Formats: sequence, C-alpha cells, structure tokens
Amino acid sequence: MFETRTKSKRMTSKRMAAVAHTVLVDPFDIMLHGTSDGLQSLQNRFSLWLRGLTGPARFVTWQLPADLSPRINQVVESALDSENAQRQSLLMEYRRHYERLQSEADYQRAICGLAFWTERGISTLALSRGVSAALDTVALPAKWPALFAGEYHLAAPNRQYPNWHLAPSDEGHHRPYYAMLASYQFQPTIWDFGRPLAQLMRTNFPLALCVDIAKTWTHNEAINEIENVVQAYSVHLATLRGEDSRSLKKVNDCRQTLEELNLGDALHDVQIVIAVAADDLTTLKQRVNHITDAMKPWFLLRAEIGEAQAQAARFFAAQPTTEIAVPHTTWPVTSRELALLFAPLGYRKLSGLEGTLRGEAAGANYPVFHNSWRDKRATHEVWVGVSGYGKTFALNCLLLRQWAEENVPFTLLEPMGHGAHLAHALNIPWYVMSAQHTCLNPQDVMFPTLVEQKAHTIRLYETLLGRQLSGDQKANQERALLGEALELLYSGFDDWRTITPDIAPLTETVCDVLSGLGDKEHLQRIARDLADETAGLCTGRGPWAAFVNGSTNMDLSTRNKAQPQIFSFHEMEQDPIMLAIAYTQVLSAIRRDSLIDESPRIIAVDEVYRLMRHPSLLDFLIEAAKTFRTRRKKLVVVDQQMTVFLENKARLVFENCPIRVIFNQRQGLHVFREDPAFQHLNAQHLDIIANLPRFHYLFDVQDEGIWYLYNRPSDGEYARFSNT
Amino acid sequence: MAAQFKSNVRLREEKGFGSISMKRLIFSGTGAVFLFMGSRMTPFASMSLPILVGSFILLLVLSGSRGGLPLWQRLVLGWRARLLLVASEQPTGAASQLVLALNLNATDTHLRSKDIFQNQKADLRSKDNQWAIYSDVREARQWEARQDSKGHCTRLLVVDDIGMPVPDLSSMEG
Repeated sequence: MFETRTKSKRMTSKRMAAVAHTVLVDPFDIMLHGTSDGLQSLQNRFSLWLRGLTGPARFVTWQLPADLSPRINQVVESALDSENAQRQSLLMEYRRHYERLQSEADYQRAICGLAFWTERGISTLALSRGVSAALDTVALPAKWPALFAGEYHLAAPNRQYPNWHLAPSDEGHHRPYYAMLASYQFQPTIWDFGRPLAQLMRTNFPLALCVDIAKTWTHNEAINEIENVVQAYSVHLATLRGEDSRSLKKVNDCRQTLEELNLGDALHDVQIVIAVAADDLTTLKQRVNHITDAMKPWFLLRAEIGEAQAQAARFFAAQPTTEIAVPHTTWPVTSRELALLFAPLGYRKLSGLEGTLRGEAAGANYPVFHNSWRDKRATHEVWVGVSGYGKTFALNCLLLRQWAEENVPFTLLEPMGHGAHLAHALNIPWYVMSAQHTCLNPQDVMFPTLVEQKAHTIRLYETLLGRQLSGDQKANQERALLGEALELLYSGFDDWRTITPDIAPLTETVCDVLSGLGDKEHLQRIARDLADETAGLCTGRGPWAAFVNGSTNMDLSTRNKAQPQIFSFHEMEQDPIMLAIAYTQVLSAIRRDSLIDESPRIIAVDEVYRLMRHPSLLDFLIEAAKTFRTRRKKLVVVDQQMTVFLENKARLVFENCPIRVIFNQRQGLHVFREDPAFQHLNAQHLDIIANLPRFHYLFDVQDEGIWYLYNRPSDGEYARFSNT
Repeated sequence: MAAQFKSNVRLREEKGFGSISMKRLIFSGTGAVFLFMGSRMTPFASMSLPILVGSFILLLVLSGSRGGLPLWQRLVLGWRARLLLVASEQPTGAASQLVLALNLNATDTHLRSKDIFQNQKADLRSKDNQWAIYSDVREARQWEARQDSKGHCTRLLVVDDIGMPVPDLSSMEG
C-alpha cells in the first residue's frame, strides 16, 4: 500500500540506473539582496534554475543550536600553552569577549544540502558548479551529514506524546527523540523569502527541513494535466445550480498556473518533511505543536503514522523518494513558488569557529570567523574606506587577534603614527622612521643575487636623484657606471650576501669609487658629474646625507622573529623621497627574509597610495605581493579609495588580493558600478557600500561569499584603540 | 519576492453535499450499493437495507480525510505498525507469525544510522570549506585529536546530542 512507487519493471530498471549526487551549499545572507528588486531577481534566478530540473531533487537544511564553547576552550588551551605573558593576558581577554557574546545570544548552526538523481555519466562536480552559478553561493560535492547517530526504534503514541515517534534504542546514552512531520496541504496564501520557512530557521531547537521535489513534470504533460482539470471543473460548474466558490477558485488557480507554465515555469510535485528533536517527550510535543501551529497559515503538517515515521527519516539521506514508503502527499507548485522554499539558503548562521573573528553579522548578530591561512599560500587583502569609518581601528583589532589567538606576528607599516597604540598594547618596540634620527643605507643587501641587488640600489639612487637612469644615452651610461661602482664595492667582500648593515659600503664610498671610474674621458666626466650630484644630495651637508649616508641604525630584519613589528612613517611625512626610500628598504627587508622563511606573517601597509605614487615602488609592491603570497606572508593593503587599486599597474596588486574589505565608499561608488571586478555585487550591495555606518564593512571573499559585518570590539580592544 | 501559492491544481474536488465532496459521495454510494447487491444474494437478504445504509455511512467515515490521509489509511498504518512492534518484541509469538504471513518485516521498526545514512556517515570531510556542526566541545576535541597532522579538513556532522553527555558514538556504530 505504501510501498515504493514502482509501477513497472521498465520504470524500476530506469530508477535503478539513477545515480544520487549530493552537494552541500553554503548559505548566503539574504540581507544583501534586501530590496524588493533584489529579492525579485533572486527569486527569478532560483526559478530559472528550477525550470531546468529534469529528475527528482531534494533540498535539506539541518539546524541545531550552537555556542562558542569550542572556541572558548581553544582560547583557554592556547593561553595555557603560551609562554608569553602578554599573549596569555590577551587570550584571557578574548575568552571573556566570547563568553559575553555567548551569554547575549542564541546561536544556531545550519547546513544546506541538495541531492539530485540523474542518469549515470553526469558528474557531481558539474552539478555543484551549476548550483553554485545558479544560486550564487558556494556549492561543493560532499556527502550529507547524518540526521542522527546510533540506533532508534519506532515508538507508539503514549500519554506523554500522542503521536508516533522515534525513540533512541539505548536510553542510557541520553539521545533525543525525533518526530517526523510531513506536509499534506499548502495554503493558498502569499509566501516570500521571509515567511514561513525563515520563521522555522529562527527556532532555537534542533530540526531538519526537507523540501522533496519528487517530480518535475514535462512542460506538455503539466499543461495537459491542468487543462483536463479545468475542463472537468468547467463541466461541473456548467451543470451546477447555485454557488461553488471552491471550484471557481480552483479554476482560477489552474488558469494562473497555466499562464505561468506558458511563460516557461515548470510544474513540480513537492512535499515538505520536518524532523524535530527533543530531549524528552513532553518537550517534543511542545516543539511539534509549535511548528505545526506556526506553519499552519502556510502549510499543514501531519505527524507521520506508524512505519511512515521511521521511513520519513530517509528523506534526510540520499535515498530516492520512490524508495521511501510513506504516503506521498505532494503538492503541485510552479518554479516561481518552489524558489521560495529555498529560503533557508538565505539565512546564514554561525559558521565554523576556526580562524579569526572578523566581526558580527550586521542584523543577525552572530560572530563570523574566517580562516585565511587554510591555503598553503597566504591570501592577501585589500581594505578601502573613507577616513573615519573604522579602517585603522579594524586593522588594529585584526592584527591583535591574529597575533594573540593564532600566533601570527605582523609587520605594520603606517604613515599616521597610530602604530603607537598597537606597540603600547603589545609592549613591543615602535620603529619610527625619522628624517632626523633614522639612517637607511641604500647599499644594505636585500636581494639574493648581485644583479637584483644592483638594480635595487640603482632604483634607490634614481629616487634620490629624482630622475631615471635610463632612457637616453647619458642616463644609460650613468646607470652602467653606478652599477660598476656597486659591483666593485660588493666584490671587495668574500661573500657579498653575508654583508651585514654595520659593514655595508656607505654612500660616500660609492661616490668616491664612482668618481674614479671611466676609461674614456667623456665617461670619466659623466662618472664625476654623477658622483658630484649624488654626493651633493646624499653626503656632507646634502639634504638626505643624514638619512642615507651611514650604517642603517634600525633592525629591519624579520628573520627568525616571532614578534610583531611596527614601522611608523609620520615623522617623514613632508619628504616623499625619504618616505619612498624608507618604504622600499623596509619592504625589501621583509621580502628578503620571506624568501628563506615560510612561517605565516601579516604585512600590513596603511595608506598604500604613498607607495603607489612612486612608479618604482609600485613595481616593487606588485612583485612583493606575488613573493609574499607564496611564502605565507599575508599582505594587507589599506587605502581610502578603491580607485587607487584599479588604475594601471596597481591593478595587479588588487588582483592578487582575493579578500576585499570595503568600508563606506560613498565618494567612489562609480568604481563598483563600472569595474568588471565588482560585477558580482548587486544593487543592494552597492547601496550598502554607499551607506555603511562607522565600523561596518562588507567582507568579500572571492569564491566564498560576501558578509555584511560590524566590527564589534572586545572591551580590551575598545580601551586600547578607541582613540585611533 | 513573493508568490501567491495556489490550491492543488491537479486534484478534483467538486462540491457534493455539505462538506462532503462529490468524489467521496460517489465512492461511498457505489461501495454501499455493491454491498447491498451482494447481501441480496446471501442469507442476509432481509438485512440488505440496513447494510446499505450502514455501509454507506461507514465508507463515508472511513474515507474522511485527516492529515491528508483517509481514515482507513491511518488505521491500517497504525495497526500494522503496532503489529510490527509486538512482533519485534516477541519474535516467536503469534504476532510474529502474522507478520511473516503478511510478508512484512518486523525489523522495519528499527533504524540504524549506519544503514540509513550509510553513504554519508562517519567523517565527512571537505578540503575547501569549513562547514562544521558540533553540539559539544568534547566531540570537536575527539575529532581534532583524530586529525593529527593530516592537514586541514573539516568534519561535517549533525550531532543529535543537546547539551548532554556525549556518548562514544564510534563504539555504538561499530
């Protein structure tokens, strides 16, 4: 009677050939489609995809309450393992922060899955890519989670719970009871992405929701079926005396359905199955009643009876509907209606607790963690936002969290002097690049080969001279002579790569050697002129003599250093040349050390346009971005406008940054509308970007998703960085 | 962003009498008439009229729908499940013999996670994502301990423990 739906041997053999494909789908944030146009386009997109379904399919969401305990325990363990008192103290602060978050909220976790049954030969990966493109979220071929573990048995109604249910076979293990509810009637009312399924997703108890698409009718079959119903009703109404409002309504519904089918929609037979769990039967009864009552305005649910209760659990496995022996009370819906049953996809919940706390989901109030160190290569980030919207504050929080919780040190290069807060918080040296006190020797060894080293030093001299040593005959000769002078000086050492800053040749020595070069008179003259020019600027009383003519008096090395470093450039703000030299030398040192070291480190560069306005430094930054990535050095480049990163060669830096953190960009919104890199952003995203309040940002991770976050600081972070 | 859901456009339910659809009336009437005609050919011919009325009412009641299922279907489902439960408790009893005779399977009342979710149980891992569901920190710990140095991967598991001590599920599954 309620056996599988097998009707003929031919059909059975067809079904046997069907292969199940399971896919897990990452929920997205429907708030990011929050306008009526956005939601309409979302519904259209889902609907278009559903029109293409040819076989049975199933959409399942598993949800259960969650908390931050694993994270809190991890933080406590890290604190116990750490030998650094400062880190321990910070970890305890974060522990308190997580405990507070937990006490203020009820979190749930949710996983969404899709199953398809197709003929052999169709790849699950191809299907998942189709899903990913259609639903605009991450979908991966993966096995579904099990609804329950261990053994259960069917239990008859009793005084505590008046319906059939599933009870754990071994009660000693305190596992929950389950009740399976199945839909049998959809009410003729308005559904949307918020109602009714989103209401289910707000319940704070474990449940699983299955939308079983048992059959998708072929276009002609569906139209014929419904036209026959219309015809029969027409005959009935023609012979009827008096009023039959239900039949009139049915005819209207049929005609509306026909209209939608003729516009391209498909007709699907759908049933909703809900699995509810509870510790005891009294609670189970309350939860079942709650769900039944809450859903009553939209669809009616029945508690499955007898064996059907046990069989219904199979809806949460990759078992075809035809093999599940339950009374199939499906309901015909068109694709545009079915699209709304995928609403749980739009309600992102607490995700993994791995990685760094990036903020709290705006509106949903659950913390979002992201692990950007999963890949073997580092994932660079680009941050943009107009002044005063919380970039620096958020950057300080991120660096502190990564260092405290994941033991990832950082190097911060910043031009405003805000580094003092971070240095003070971590009790680490604060390196302030100063025109008066700092000396950076251009001859310090930064590259592994002599050719690269010479090119680097020549680039520094070009910056100091304010002109390029190439392009015309004289400039080329100058470049050659300067290169020869440097080679002569480096060759004076047994192994030039071991030259330490204290013994590196000085700028005045370079000028001396340069002035004596040239085997022809005109070359000697060029060499002398270049030496005089350089010496005038960089030695004696020259404007940059104190800065570049001497041994480097700052330890730029990060080699074997687990400590964070902070370099501030605010004391050389007025001189772009010195600023460029300072940035280059620091970045060169980091790059040099990266080549022999694969330990993770963050290199954060604030106000990066200061580097980009020097063409040679831009080249350097592009090259460094590539090098850092392969050596697990995460580059975080921060600036006010996205346009900075999209112009000419700077785009190469942007394209190497899969993570985009976007604060308010009201002034530069045209970029997001026009640039192909932001075609994935919809009108609602742009509206959010234009109106982001302070400390709110869009966290856009390529191929993973977009989050609208609020950077909620811990008490400690607020106390330390509030005045930044 | 919204849709007006429609009634069941594949189902005919023409108006009958009161709240009873024409379909049910015709079914009950036809059924009752067959029984009436049958009873006329039996020694109960004198009772055929009460049989006609009684069977009409009985068929109407049995075909009455609740929860999307007619009453007779609900009764059959319930009785069959009770029979299976009794048979599973007393494998050598009369109920068990009846279950065998009806070609039913008493083990259908028992569900084993590893049978139902056989393709999806155990360590579900995905290299490229971090979906994870734990209901208890100890379970997460157990998993982490098993990972050792295997690299990054995440277990996907809906755990059905709700704030209670976590049993050693692996031993149960075995």
